[in-house]
Amino acid sequence: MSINFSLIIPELLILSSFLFVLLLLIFNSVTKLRWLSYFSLLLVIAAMVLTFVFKDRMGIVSDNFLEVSKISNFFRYLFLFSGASLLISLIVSKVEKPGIYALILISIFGAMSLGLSSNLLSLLMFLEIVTVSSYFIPTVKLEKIDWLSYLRYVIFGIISTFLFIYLFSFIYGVSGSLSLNVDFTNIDINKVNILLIIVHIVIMVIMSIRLSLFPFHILFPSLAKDSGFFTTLFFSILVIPVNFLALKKVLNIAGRLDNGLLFDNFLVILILVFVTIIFLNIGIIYQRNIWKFLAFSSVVQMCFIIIDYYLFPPLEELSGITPYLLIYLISTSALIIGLGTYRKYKLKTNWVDFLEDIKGAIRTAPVLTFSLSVILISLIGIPGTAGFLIKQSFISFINAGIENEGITGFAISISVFLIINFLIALYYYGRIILSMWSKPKTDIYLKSKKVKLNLFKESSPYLLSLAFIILCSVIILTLGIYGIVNPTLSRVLLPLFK
Amino acid sequence: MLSLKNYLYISTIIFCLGIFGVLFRRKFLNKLISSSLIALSAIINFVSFSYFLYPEKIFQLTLIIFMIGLIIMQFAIGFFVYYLVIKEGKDIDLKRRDPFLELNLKIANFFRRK
Repeated sequence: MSINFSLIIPELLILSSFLFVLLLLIFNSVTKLRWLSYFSLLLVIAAMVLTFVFKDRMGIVSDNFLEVSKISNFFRYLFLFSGASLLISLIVSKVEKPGIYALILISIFGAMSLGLSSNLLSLLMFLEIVTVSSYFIPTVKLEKIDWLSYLRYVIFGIISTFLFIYLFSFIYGVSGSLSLNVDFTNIDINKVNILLIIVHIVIMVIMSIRLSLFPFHILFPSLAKDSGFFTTLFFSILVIPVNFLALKKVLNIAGRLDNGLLFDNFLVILILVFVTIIFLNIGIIYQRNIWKFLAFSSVVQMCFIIIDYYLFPPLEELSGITPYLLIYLISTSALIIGLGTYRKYKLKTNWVDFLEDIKGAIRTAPVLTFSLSVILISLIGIPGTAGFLIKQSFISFINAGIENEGITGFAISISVFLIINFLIALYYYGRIILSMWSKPKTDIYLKSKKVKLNLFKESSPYLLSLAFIILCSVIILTLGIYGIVNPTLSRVLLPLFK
Repeated sequence: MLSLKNYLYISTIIFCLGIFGVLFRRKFLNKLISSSLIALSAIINFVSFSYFLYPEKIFQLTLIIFMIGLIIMQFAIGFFVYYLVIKEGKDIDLKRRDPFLELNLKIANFFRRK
């Protein structure tokens, strides 16, 4: 097995810098090294420059393991940029713990390499590198941590990894390879039909759960409370694209199976995903914690995206659903950043956990509340916002069915399901919007009135995150309006992801 | 002679045991050990598939060894985290939640005193 090292110079630079920082940590007893932060930032910027210089170098790094393509270059920029912004924010807030820099560097390396992987095993390995570094982030602040939720988080990660390996073993048994470019044409379909379908559905469901879980504060809010705002932000922004990339690659294999294998059993998939959505919706109604709320609802969104994938076979394989995934990514990260910014700079409390905490946000932070409301409305799926596009495929599917076969029981049941789901979404997102727009609690209101931002330390990050959220809401509105005018939005955005 | 089917039956039984443990055991270590059964069934699947169906692909075997390495890494991390909890666990209220962990805590405190 030969490896072409000249194609992965930015990754090698980040890896070697991680090793250097690690060695320094092991052999140097000094715990506060200010220059290390500048050094790490410099290396990340150097890796960005190298990626730009060698942007035309594409090809196979190692046969059946790593491959550089246009999309992996795009993700390289994304991960390096998010890493650099985190390092800058850490330098500004004077965090001088060397361990955190090592963790940031290794997670950037894992994320960049995941973009290159062309094998299920390498994909899992680099996904684990990112995950493992997220295990150790909370240990930087050892004295305050909620160990129980930390243990739950770690054991969930370990079990899901083992489940992945178990499921991959069936793909290996059927195809004889773990490559993402595997050829399924010579396989005797009749023997493995149901097995393969079940394996793929389970992989996708676990992937989607991990996708929603990995901004790890969502299911275990007390964990993120201790790990610091900027690091939580970094992992919530970094890990969503990482998991998105992994899901995209796994879906790509499923795309190769489409000839008469998965689409014959579309009804099975539809029923399974519908059952998952109903189950999660019932769970959401009983939640009071906003973050758990968002975790459940993002799994529902992922289920919709999975169905969209099956509803749109003609849309040139996978690229058809990429815009939907991007819409999901934009809304989720904007919501996380928005709520985090509100508590950090306006409430100055530990954490926003419950609906009561964000009561009266419209008075203290009107622009932020308005932008967040737009994003929440989009998540409900009201026409005129980007979230409606995710549900639009259902409506066109029902329309096509009615045109071909008339009004059948199947079409009616899907329509009823959609309406019920819409009403539930309206209820739970509406509750968040209502509490933001309602009258504030007197004590919180008075407290937040007194809060004044320090001009040099706090104003600039607050304005920066506010600008990001406004940008996200504008994108969502523009895409939504454009989607009404031009229903084939996916085709318009397609060339970007080729 | 044992065929591929027999190995798959065995691995399925082990997998079911692992899933049972993961779902119904409440302690961290028990969950970790149960998840090791899932990993074991995955390894049995891989080895039996490669032995019976693809004996000519030697390269895949290296991948399997690689995968076992990944599993060992996960275990190491699991136990390391557990060690961290024991080491720093003075603030946790474990009386109701995990008596086994509390016992370990006592042992760790005993050694720390020395």
